Amino acid sequence: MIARLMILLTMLILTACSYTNPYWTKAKGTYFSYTATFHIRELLGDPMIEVLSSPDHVESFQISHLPSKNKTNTLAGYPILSTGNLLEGVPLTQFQSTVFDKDSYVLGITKRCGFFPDSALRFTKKEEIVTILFSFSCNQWIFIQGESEVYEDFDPARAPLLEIIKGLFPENQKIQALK
Amino acid sequence: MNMRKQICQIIWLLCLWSFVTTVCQAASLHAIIVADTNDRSIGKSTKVDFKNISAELENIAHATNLQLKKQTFTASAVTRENLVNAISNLQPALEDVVLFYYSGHGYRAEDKKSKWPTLSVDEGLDYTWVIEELKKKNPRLLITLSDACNVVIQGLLSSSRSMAKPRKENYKKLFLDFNGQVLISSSQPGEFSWGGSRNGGLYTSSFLKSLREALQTKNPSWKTLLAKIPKTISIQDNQGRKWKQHPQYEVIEAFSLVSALSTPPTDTDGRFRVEIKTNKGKQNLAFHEDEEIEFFVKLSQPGYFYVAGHHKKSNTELSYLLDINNQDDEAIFIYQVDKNVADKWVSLGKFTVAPPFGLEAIQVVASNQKFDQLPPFQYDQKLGYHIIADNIEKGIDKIRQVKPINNQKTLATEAALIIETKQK
Repeated sequence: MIARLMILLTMLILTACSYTNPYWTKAKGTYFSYTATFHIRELLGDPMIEVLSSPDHVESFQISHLPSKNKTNTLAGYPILSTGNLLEGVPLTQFQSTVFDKDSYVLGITKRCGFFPDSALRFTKKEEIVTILFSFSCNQWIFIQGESEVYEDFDPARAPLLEIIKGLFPENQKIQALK
Repeated sequence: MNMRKQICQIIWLLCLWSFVTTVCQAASLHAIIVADTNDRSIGKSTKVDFKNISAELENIAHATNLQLKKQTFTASAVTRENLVNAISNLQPALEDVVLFYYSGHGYRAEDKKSKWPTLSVDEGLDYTWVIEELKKKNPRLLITLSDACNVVIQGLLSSSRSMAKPRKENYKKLFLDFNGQVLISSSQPGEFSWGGSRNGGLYTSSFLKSLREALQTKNPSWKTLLAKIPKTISIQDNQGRKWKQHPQYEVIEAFSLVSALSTPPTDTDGRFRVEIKTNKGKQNLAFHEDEEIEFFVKLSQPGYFYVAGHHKKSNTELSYLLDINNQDDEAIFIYQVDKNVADKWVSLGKFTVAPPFGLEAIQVVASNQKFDQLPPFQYDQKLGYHIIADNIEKGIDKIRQVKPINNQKTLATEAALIIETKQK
């Protein structure tokens, strides 16, 4: 009887985990905890996490600091200056673990810095697209999916993020000069 | 019945006149309040700042009787054009207070030399420009505060409000008695400025806390209240980590022509009065290059007067005696008013406005007795002035140290007016 109860209890706990964390098994190789995922799900929302956790491909771009009214060759309104390598393999896994870690963010407060982006990533999964704009001047990023936008500070994760972005633009002097 | 009606009408007119005079003479508090409330990242935080600063302005105006003239810019009204227009068109009188407050994003260009940030409004509005433009308007007190980042772009304090009540006289000490400039930015070059949606900007909440504490002390001052804000202020995020910033400020106390001349010593009990006016009246006087100014003086009784000028232009100050008579000795400075012209306006002549431009004060010193001496002066051939002092405060002191012949019948008094000269 006790053994049956224990099995039932274990099954209940596992069910609860899989309900609250549907990406547990999808994002293989990533190292995020249940708590972190809960905060990140609150922050980014399920549709965005779906794309970020298992994209078909991830493109990288160097973009202009200032938006343009001209809509050709722009990303979220910012002119594309150059394209970088695809984000894949280990760097992608590192990036996902950074994005899904609540300690990468400065939650609850925001700095009063004008947003002047320098680079961007575009995650594509079938028809869904999530664009992330980075401003390394102010350590801020914006996650954009359709009409939905999430604006946050990434000060604690500046170093790993900058390393990943620099790795995508090995020949780009301006990106390499970012400190 | 008709008589009673007429008396009522006269009393009503007197009351109205008294009201209009009081209102017209009250100094103003011109406030330009800017909060980028539409911003997706800090909009909530700036809304809190806007509410707190607006409430404090009402307190200041109520406690000091300063007439609040508030221009607010929030949401889509936060545009460079709107702010430039508001600042450029602001016309404070010399006795007024001007306050500029900005809550929003800020940054600095890599090659920027000034320590002040650029406000992130459209293509950018330089906070240094805001300060310099407002300084040019010569208000008695200028306060500017930007709660914005000051970081180069390549290529909480708890709001524990004290329950003690601020003293009304302290508002007066800070906003009426102080003359000069109080210039503040929430972070130093290269730094971020932080804020939260609960308490607003970290610096704004620190500033308001220190202001409210100062208002409860015995002798508040701008220097003390700003010095009490910690040199390093920090805010904690939801993860418990602390984020720091270092505010910067300048407090420049200036001698005020308005204050010094608006309370002249008098021992006449109103029996002996002197008045001065221009062809444009007595208040809010501004004359442009090449324009003619004519000064008029009126003594209520026969007596004597002399006239001193004080000017403040850019970084130079000068107090001097005006020659108002065609005589050879010191009598050139003294005008005698006899029975025939007593209580009548006497013209001192016409003057043409020429550069350098700035503030000019004309002070008339009058007595019913002959002046046996004048304040000491030296003639400067190069400038063509009979100079009393190269510092207005000293000049006014020297004038007031010299008294007319002192006997029981001596009555002496003063009057002054201040004009602003401007380029065409």
